[in-house]
Amino acid sequence: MDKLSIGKFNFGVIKQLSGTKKTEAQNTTSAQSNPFGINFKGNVYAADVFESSKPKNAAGASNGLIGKAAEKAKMFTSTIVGGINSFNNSLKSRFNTIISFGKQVKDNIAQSWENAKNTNIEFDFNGLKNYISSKFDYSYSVSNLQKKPVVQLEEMLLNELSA
Amino acid sequence: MNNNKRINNIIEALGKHEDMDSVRVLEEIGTNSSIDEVREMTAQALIRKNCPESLKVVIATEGKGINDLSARVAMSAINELLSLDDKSQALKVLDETMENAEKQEIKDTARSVKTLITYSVQ
Repeated sequence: MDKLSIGKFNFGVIKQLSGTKKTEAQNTTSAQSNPFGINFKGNVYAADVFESSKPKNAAGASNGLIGKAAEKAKMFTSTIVGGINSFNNSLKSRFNTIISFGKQVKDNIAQSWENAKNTNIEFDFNGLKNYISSKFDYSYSVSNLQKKPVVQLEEMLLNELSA
Repeated sequence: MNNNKRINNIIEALGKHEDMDSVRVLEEIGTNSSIDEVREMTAQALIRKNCPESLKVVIATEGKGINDLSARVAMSAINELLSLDDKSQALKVLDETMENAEKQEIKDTARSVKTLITYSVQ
Protein backbone atom coordinates (compact mmCIF):
# COMPACT_ATOMS: atom_id res chain seq x y z
CA MET A 1 0.00 0.00 0.00
CA ASP A 2 1.34 3.37 -0.96
CA LYS A 3 1.64 5.98 1.66
CA LEU A 4 0.07 9.31 0.96
CA SER A 5 2.44 12.24 1.10
CA ILE A 6 2.03 15.91 0.39
CA GLY A 7 4.98 15.91 -1.92
CA LYS A 8 3.46 13.30 -4.10
CA PHE A 9 0.03 14.93 -4.14
CA ASN A 10 -1.09 15.96 -7.57
CA PHE A 11 -2.19 19.58 -7.48
CA GLY A 12 -3.51 19.36 -10.98
CA VAL A 13 -6.83 17.98 -9.75
CA ILE A 14 -7.35 21.01 -7.47
CA LYS A 15 -6.48 23.34 -10.30
CA GLN A 16 -8.98 21.61 -12.50
CA LEU A 17 -11.70 21.83 -9.84
CA SER A 18 -11.01 25.48 -9.15
CA GLY A 19 -10.99 26.13 -12.90
CA THR A 20 -14.45 24.61 -13.36
CA LYS A 21 -15.81 26.57 -10.38
CA LYS A 22 -14.44 29.78 -11.86
CA THR A 23 -16.07 29.23 -15.24
CA GLU A 24 -19.40 28.47 -13.53
CA ALA A 25 -19.18 31.70 -11.55
CA GLN A 26 -18.36 33.63 -14.71
CA ASN A 27 -21.35 32.13 -16.45
CA THR A 28 -23.68 33.02 -13.64
CA THR A 29 -22.44 36.62 -13.50
CA SER A 30 -22.72 36.94 -17.24
CA ALA A 31 -26.27 35.61 -17.09
CA GLN A 32 -27.25 38.03 -14.37
CA SER A 33 -25.71 41.19 -15.80
CA ASN A 34 -26.35 42.57 -19.25
CA PRO A 35 -23.03 43.06 -20.95
CA PHE A 36 -24.58 44.84 -23.91
CA GLY A 37 -26.76 47.35 -22.23
CA ILE A 38 -27.32 49.75 -19.40
CA ASN A 39 -30.04 49.69 -16.89
CA PHE A 40 -32.00 52.91 -16.88
CA LYS A 41 -35.02 53.22 -14.60
CA GLY A 42 -35.81 49.58 -14.86
CA ASN A 43 -35.65 49.48 -18.69
CA VAL A 44 -32.82 47.75 -20.40
CA TYR A 45 -31.66 49.54 -23.50
CA ALA A 46 -29.58 47.52 -25.89
CA ALA A 47 -26.46 49.25 -27.01
CA ASP A 48 -26.19 47.22 -30.20
CA VAL A 49 -29.45 48.40 -31.70
CA PHE A 50 -27.61 50.37 -34.30
CA GLU A 51 -24.92 47.78 -34.86
CA SER A 52 -23.66 48.27 -38.31
CA SER A 53 -24.02 45.37 -40.71
CA LYS A 54 -20.67 46.25 -42.24
CA PRO A 55 -17.67 44.56 -40.67
CA LYS A 56 -15.30 46.68 -38.75
CA ASN A 57 -12.37 47.42 -41.00
CA ALA A 58 -10.32 49.48 -38.61
CA ALA A 59 -9.11 47.27 -35.84
CA GLY A 60 -7.43 50.09 -34.06
CA ALA A 61 -10.49 52.22 -34.02
CA SER A 62 -12.45 49.76 -31.89
CA ASN A 63 -9.89 49.87 -29.19
CA GLY A 64 -9.04 53.56 -29.39
CA LEU A 65 -10.74 56.70 -28.21
CA ILE A 66 -12.83 56.97 -31.36
CA GLY A 67 -14.23 53.52 -30.78
CA LYS A 68 -15.16 54.30 -27.20
CA ALA A 69 -16.81 57.53 -28.29
CA ALA A 70 -18.76 55.66 -30.95
CA GLU A 71 -19.91 53.12 -28.34
CA LYS A 72 -21.06 55.88 -26.04
CA ALA A 73 -22.87 57.63 -28.86
CA LYS A 74 -24.67 54.39 -29.69
CA MET A 75 -25.66 53.96 -26.08
CA PHE A 76 -26.88 57.50 -25.87
CA THR A 77 -28.90 57.21 -29.09
CA SER A 78 -30.33 53.92 -27.93
CA THR A 79 -31.43 55.52 -24.69
CA ILE A 80 -33.16 58.31 -26.57
CA VAL A 81 -34.88 55.89 -28.92
CA GLY A 82 -35.99 53.75 -26.00
CA GLY A 83 -37.24 56.85 -24.21
CA ILE A 84 -39.18 57.92 -27.28
CA ASN A 85 -40.70 54.46 -27.52
CA SER A 86 -41.79 54.45 -23.91
CA PHE A 87 -43.11 58.01 -24.29
CA ASN A 88 -45.07 56.94 -27.36
CA ASN A 89 -46.51 54.01 -25.45
CA SER A 90 -47.59 56.18 -22.55
CA LEU A 91 -48.98 58.77 -24.96
CA LYS A 92 -50.90 56.07 -26.81
CA SER A 93 -52.35 54.72 -23.59
CA ARG A 94 -53.40 58.25 -22.59
CA PHE A 95 -54.91 58.88 -25.98
CA ASN A 96 -56.79 55.60 -25.69
CA THR A 97 -58.17 56.71 -22.33
CA ILE A 98 -59.24 60.05 -23.81
CA ILE A 99 -60.77 58.35 -26.83
CA SER A 100 -62.72 55.91 -24.65
CA PHE A 101 -63.92 58.81 -22.50
CA GLY A 102 -65.00 60.70 -25.62
CA LYS A 103 -66.83 57.64 -26.90
CA GLN A 104 -68.59 57.30 -23.56
CA VAL A 105 -69.63 60.98 -23.65
CA LYS A 106 -70.81 60.61 -27.22
CA ASP A 107 -72.84 57.51 -26.31
CA ASN A 108 -74.40 59.34 -23.36
CA ILE A 109 -75.29 62.34 -25.50
CA ALA A 110 -76.76 60.09 -28.16
CA GLN A 111 -78.78 58.24 -25.53
CA SER A 112 -80.01 61.54 -24.03
CA TRP A 113 -80.95 62.77 -27.46
CA GLU A 114 -82.90 59.56 -28.11
CA ASN A 115 -84.69 59.97 -24.77
CA ALA A 116 -85.45 63.61 -25.55
CA LYS A 117 -86.78 62.63 -28.98
CA ASN A 118 -89.04 60.01 -27.47
CA THR A 119 -90.26 62.32 -24.67
CA ASN A 120 -93.46 64.12 -25.48
CA ILE A 121 -93.18 67.71 -24.25
CA GLU A 122 -96.40 69.63 -23.93
CA PHE A 123 -96.75 73.20 -22.79
CA ASP A 124 -99.98 73.73 -20.93
CA PHE A 125 -100.81 77.38 -21.55
CA ASN A 126 -104.16 77.13 -19.84
CA GLY A 127 -102.61 75.68 -16.71
CA LEU A 128 -99.95 78.38 -16.72
CA LYS A 129 -102.58 81.06 -17.19
CA ASN A 130 -104.65 79.68 -14.31
CA TYR A 131 -101.57 79.44 -12.12
CA ILE A 132 -100.55 83.03 -12.83
CA SER A 133 -104.08 84.32 -12.41
CA SER A 134 -104.38 82.47 -9.09
CA LYS A 135 -101.10 83.98 -7.91
CA PHE A 136 -101.85 87.46 -9.16
CA ASP A 137 -105.57 87.78 -8.84
CA TYR A 138 -106.03 91.44 -9.65
CA SER A 139 -109.81 91.10 -9.66
CA TYR A 140 -109.57 90.86 -5.85
CA SER A 141 -107.33 93.86 -5.43
CA VAL A 142 -108.75 96.63 -3.22
CA SER A 143 -108.61 99.23 -5.99
CA ASN A 144 -110.59 97.01 -8.35
CA LEU A 145 -113.08 96.00 -5.68
CA GLN A 146 -113.76 99.65 -4.82
CA LYS A 147 -115.04 100.21 -8.36
CA LYS A 148 -117.66 97.48 -8.02
CA PRO A 149 -121.13 98.23 -6.62
CA VAL A 150 -121.76 97.54 -2.93
CA VAL A 151 -124.40 94.92 -3.73
CA GLN A 152 -121.87 92.91 -5.71
CA LEU A 153 -119.30 93.26 -2.91
CA GLU A 154 -121.93 92.07 -0.45
CA GLU A 155 -122.50 88.94 -2.53
CA MET A 156 -118.79 88.36 -2.87
CA LEU A 157 -118.25 88.72 0.88
CA LEU A 158 -121.08 86.31 1.63
CA ASN A 159 -119.67 83.80 -0.85
CA GLU A 160 -116.19 84.04 0.63
CA LEU A 161 -117.46 83.66 4.19
CA SER A 162 -119.58 80.66 3.28
CA ALA A 163 -116.69 79.00 1.36
CA MET B 1 -104.71 84.39 -3.31
CA ASN B 2 -106.18 82.63 -0.31
CA ASN B 3 -109.65 83.03 1.17
CA ASN B 4 -108.63 85.25 4.12
CA LYS B 5 -106.82 87.66 1.83
CA ARG B 6 -109.87 87.98 -0.41
CA ILE B 7 -112.16 88.61 2.58
CA ASN B 8 -109.72 91.21 3.91
CA ASN B 9 -109.63 92.97 0.54
CA ILE B 10 -113.44 93.02 0.20
CA ILE B 11 -113.88 94.47 3.71
CA GLU B 12 -111.18 97.05 3.03
CA ALA B 13 -112.83 97.98 -0.28
CA LEU B 14 -116.18 98.37 1.47
CA GLY B 15 -114.50 100.57 4.09
CA LYS B 16 -113.10 102.82 1.35
CA HIS B 17 -116.24 102.73 -0.79
CA GLU B 18 -117.99 106.06 -1.43
CA ASP B 19 -121.44 104.50 -1.29
CA MET B 20 -122.68 104.74 2.32
CA ASP B 21 -124.58 101.51 1.81
CA SER B 22 -121.24 99.89 2.45
CA VAL B 23 -121.70 100.69 6.17
CA ARG B 24 -124.89 98.65 6.18
CA VAL B 25 -123.10 95.70 4.53
CA LEU B 26 -120.22 95.88 6.98
CA GLU B 27 -122.58 96.08 9.94
CA GLU B 28 -124.88 93.30 8.80
CA ILE B 29 -122.28 90.84 7.56
CA GLY B 30 -118.92 91.84 9.05
CA THR B 31 -119.77 92.74 12.65
CA ASN B 32 -122.20 89.81 12.98
CA SER B 33 -119.66 87.24 11.78
CA SER B 34 -118.78 84.40 14.10
CA ILE B 35 -115.11 84.70 13.14
CA ASP B 36 -113.07 87.02 15.39
CA GLU B 37 -110.73 88.05 12.59
CA VAL B 38 -113.63 89.12 10.36
CA ARG B 39 -115.19 91.20 13.16
CA GLU B 40 -111.79 92.75 13.90
CA MET B 41 -111.21 93.67 10.26
CA THR B 42 -114.75 95.05 9.95
CA ALA B 43 -114.41 97.25 13.05
CA GLN B 44 -111.10 98.63 11.75
CA ALA B 45 -112.65 99.34 8.33
CA LEU B 46 -115.63 101.14 9.91
CA ILE B 47 -113.39 103.27 12.14
CA ARG B 48 -111.09 104.18 9.21
CA LYS B 49 -114.18 105.34 7.33
CA ASN B 50 -114.39 107.97 10.09
CA CYS B 51 -117.97 109.03 9.46
CA PRO B 52 -120.76 109.32 12.12
CA GLU B 53 -122.72 106.34 10.74
CA SER B 54 -119.78 103.95 10.77
CA LEU B 55 -118.47 105.21 14.16
CA LYS B 56 -121.86 104.76 15.78
CA VAL B 57 -121.79 101.08 14.85
CA VAL B 58 -118.46 100.42 16.59
CA ILE B 59 -118.98 102.79 19.58
CA ALA B 60 -122.69 102.79 20.45
CA THR B 61 -123.82 99.28 19.46
CA GLU B 62 -123.82 96.48 21.97
CA GLY B 63 -121.46 93.58 21.19
CA LYS B 64 -119.75 95.40 18.32
CA GLY B 65 -116.49 97.32 17.97
CA ILE B 66 -115.28 98.56 21.35
CA ASN B 67 -118.16 96.67 23.03
CA ASP B 68 -117.28 93.32 21.45
CA LEU B 69 -117.17 90.33 23.78
CA SER B 70 -113.80 89.38 22.37
CA ALA B 71 -111.10 91.38 24.16
CA ARG B 72 -108.91 91.16 21.05
CA VAL B 73 -111.58 92.70 18.81
CA ALA B 74 -112.45 95.43 21.38
CA MET B 75 -108.81 96.35 21.99
CA SER B 76 -108.10 96.39 18.25
CA ALA B 77 -111.05 98.79 17.74
CA ILE B 78 -109.86 101.08 20.58
CA ASN B 79 -106.34 101.06 19.14
CA GLU B 80 -107.72 102.01 15.73
CA LEU B 81 -109.66 104.90 17.27
CA LEU B 82 -106.49 106.10 19.02
CA SER B 83 -104.56 106.01 15.74
CA LEU B 84 -107.04 108.20 13.84
CA ASP B 85 -105.60 111.45 12.56
CA ASP B 86 -108.85 113.30 12.95
CA LYS B 87 -110.52 112.25 16.20
CA SER B 88 -113.18 114.95 16.28
CA GLN B 89 -115.91 112.72 14.80
CA ALA B 90 -115.04 109.90 17.18
CA LEU B 91 -115.13 112.20 20.24
CA LYS B 92 -118.49 113.55 19.14
CA VAL B 93 -119.96 110.04 18.81
CA LEU B 94 -118.44 109.05 22.16
CA ASP B 95 -120.11 112.05 23.84
CA GLU B 96 -123.46 111.16 22.29
CA THR B 97 -123.07 107.55 23.40
CA MET B 98 -122.22 108.63 26.98
CA GLU B 99 -125.39 110.66 27.07
CA ASN B 100 -127.90 108.63 25.07
CA ALA B 101 -126.88 104.95 25.41
CA GLU B 102 -129.47 102.75 27.04
CA LYS B 103 -127.05 100.44 28.77
CA GLN B 104 -124.68 101.68 31.44
CA GLU B 105 -122.02 99.25 30.32
CA ILE B 106 -121.87 100.92 26.89
CA LYS B 107 -121.73 104.37 28.52
CA ASP B 108 -118.85 103.27 30.74
CA THR B 109 -116.91 101.85 27.81
CA ALA B 110 -117.42 105.06 25.81
CA ARG B 111 -116.24 107.12 28.79
CA SER B 112 -113.11 105.02 29.21
CA VAL B 113 -112.25 105.27 25.52
CA LYS B 114 -112.81 109.01 25.52
CA THR B 115 -110.47 109.33 28.51
CA LEU B 116 -107.85 107.30 26.65
CA ILE B 117 -108.19 109.48 23.56
CA THR B 118 -107.95 112.65 25.62
CA TYR B 119 -104.78 111.44 27.37
CA SER B 120 -103.26 110.28 24.09
CA VAL B 121 -103.88 113.69 22.48
CA GLN B 122 -102.17 115.58 25.35
